[in-house]
Amino acid sequence: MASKMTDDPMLQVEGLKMHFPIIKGVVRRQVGSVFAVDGVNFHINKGETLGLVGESGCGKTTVGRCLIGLYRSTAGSIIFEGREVINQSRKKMVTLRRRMQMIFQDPYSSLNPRMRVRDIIGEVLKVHGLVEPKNKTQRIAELLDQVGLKSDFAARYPHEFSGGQRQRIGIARALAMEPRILVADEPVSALDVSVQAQVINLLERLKQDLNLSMLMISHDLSVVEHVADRIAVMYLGKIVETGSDRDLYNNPHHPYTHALLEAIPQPRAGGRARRQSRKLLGGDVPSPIDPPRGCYFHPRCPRVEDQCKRDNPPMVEVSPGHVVSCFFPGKK
Amino acid sequence: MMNQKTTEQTLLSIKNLSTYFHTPEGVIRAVEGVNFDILKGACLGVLGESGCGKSVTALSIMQLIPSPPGEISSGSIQFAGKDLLRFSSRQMRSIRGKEISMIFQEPMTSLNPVYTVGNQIGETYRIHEGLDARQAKEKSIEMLSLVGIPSPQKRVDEYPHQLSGGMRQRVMIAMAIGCQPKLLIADEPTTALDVTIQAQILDLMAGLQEEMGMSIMMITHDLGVIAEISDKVVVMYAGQVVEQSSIDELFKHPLHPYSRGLLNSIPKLGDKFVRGKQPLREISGQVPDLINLPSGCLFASRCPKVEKKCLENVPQLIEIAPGHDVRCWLAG
Repeated sequence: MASKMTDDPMLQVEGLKMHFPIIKGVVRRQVGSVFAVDGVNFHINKGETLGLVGESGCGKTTVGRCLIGLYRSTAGSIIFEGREVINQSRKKMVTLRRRMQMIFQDPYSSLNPRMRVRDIIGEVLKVHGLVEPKNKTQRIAELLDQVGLKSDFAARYPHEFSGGQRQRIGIARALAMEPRILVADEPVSALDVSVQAQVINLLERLKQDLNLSMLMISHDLSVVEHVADRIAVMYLGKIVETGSDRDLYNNPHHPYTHALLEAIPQPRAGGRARRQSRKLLGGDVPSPIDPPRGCYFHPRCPRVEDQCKRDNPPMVEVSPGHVVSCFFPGKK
Repeated sequence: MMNQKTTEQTLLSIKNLSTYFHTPEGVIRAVEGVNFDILKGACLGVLGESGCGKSVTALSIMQLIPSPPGEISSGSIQFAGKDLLRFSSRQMRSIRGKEISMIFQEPMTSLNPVYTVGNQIGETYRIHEGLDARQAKEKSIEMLSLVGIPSPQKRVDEYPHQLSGGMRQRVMIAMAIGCQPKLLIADEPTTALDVTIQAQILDLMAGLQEEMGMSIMMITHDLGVIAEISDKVVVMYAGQVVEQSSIDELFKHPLHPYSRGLLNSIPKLGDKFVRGKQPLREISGQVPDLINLPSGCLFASRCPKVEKKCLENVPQLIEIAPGHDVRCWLAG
């Protein structure tokens, strides 16, 4: 992946695999594995947003969880600011995690309902010793202000807030750690349409102001395209195409990226005609327990040939920084 | 009970429908004075965010409002010339699933996990058409193949957990259209599905609508889905209809500030490359509390163009252009 963008990678992921064992019976024998993430490579530069897009079960959330060490990855390497992250001791992870924070999908289950906002954020500050105890209240007020909440909200409990406000609290908690990189896992999909824009704009502004890097994980290609500088498309545990936002939108080379772009309903006039004219992707995503041989996409692929059923497609660089895993990239 | 005004083409006509829920905290005005018509063979989209009353409207039509605490406090629902609100519960049972069917958002929770899909689809035939078990199963297999489920003879004996999300939604549709209903109410039928599967389901629904001459009431918060399937659209906000027009008219000339806000607040694929990247335009604030509704226009607190008049008087839904109604003091 030789391109000018690799000059300054904040995060470099190589061959990341996460296989969950399937354990059955009284003797707890492993009968198989869920190949949730099966060899993923990508990097994120300083101040850059990488969008990770794919349908449910493709492994995008698992990638995010491996990054911040919530899972012990099966194989691969994650180099963050020059240091290996994978399978470090707990102690080392604590310091590493400070610099890499996650925003969760569901603002209803990711905040402890029995803690006040000031304790939710304050706990983070205390555990990591980030501020002097006497400055804690001040710092919490700053953080709340940063995410557009009033400082007197600090005394309230999560149930007193709407979904959008809760998501802001989750963001404030992540920012409390002064992270360099934010992993945002579907940060807006649980929110109402009119509130989504508020949270997306907030994330964008914070990223600018604090010069953060971001991994934006979402199933919604419209959202990802809006925020991301580069986009990686995942299918069944693998990245099938990576490129700049523009490359992927104007010049998608993988048939799956194609199909995703086609399938997204557009909020514009003339929608019925558009729906009738598009080519549909048939079938369902295969099970990650028993992925098909050869290219994982071949059972649904309109371009499928014999080779696709036999061999794993290589990663091909079709233009600088635009990489596709397909034997017949770009062919329509 | 015949209504003179009901024309030949109108299948369902809702007049001044209000549905309230009596709770210890006060009366929730979930639906307040809603009017709209659904024409024969047409698809009406009902657009709105959570809590806007779109699902309660649908449940009111089906008379599935739990009572108490719910109550349809006024209005009429004319279906094929008859007022459903005057029907006894026995009469309603002969309508549900035969004349009017409904599909729900979450296919996993709406299917019974302990019965085979064949059993559940067949139930409609056994109840409404008096078929015996064997005939009902034959019919079920027929319906499964109609909704595009591969090897229906095998699937008919499977349980819901053995099917994928897309297939479960197909089963729901098969159940709903079994008796060739005149009206299909679909409450967020694709929200839980992936985009490529969503595209398949939308095509399926539109195809069935054409073949069977069925009317569809499509409830969703997704502007893209609405654009692709409906002919006309009703925009709801805080229990009221705020705008009503043909689908293309809504996207070309949205008149209510809420509709405009919604259209501007969502990222649209490719816009970034045409106009350059701009922050999304947010709708500030939140939906009002349905127990303590403000006086005047319900959108006033979030409206960028609010005037004194808006805070004092409730605007009525008026026809601004042919077939285009808006509830706003400043429209036109």
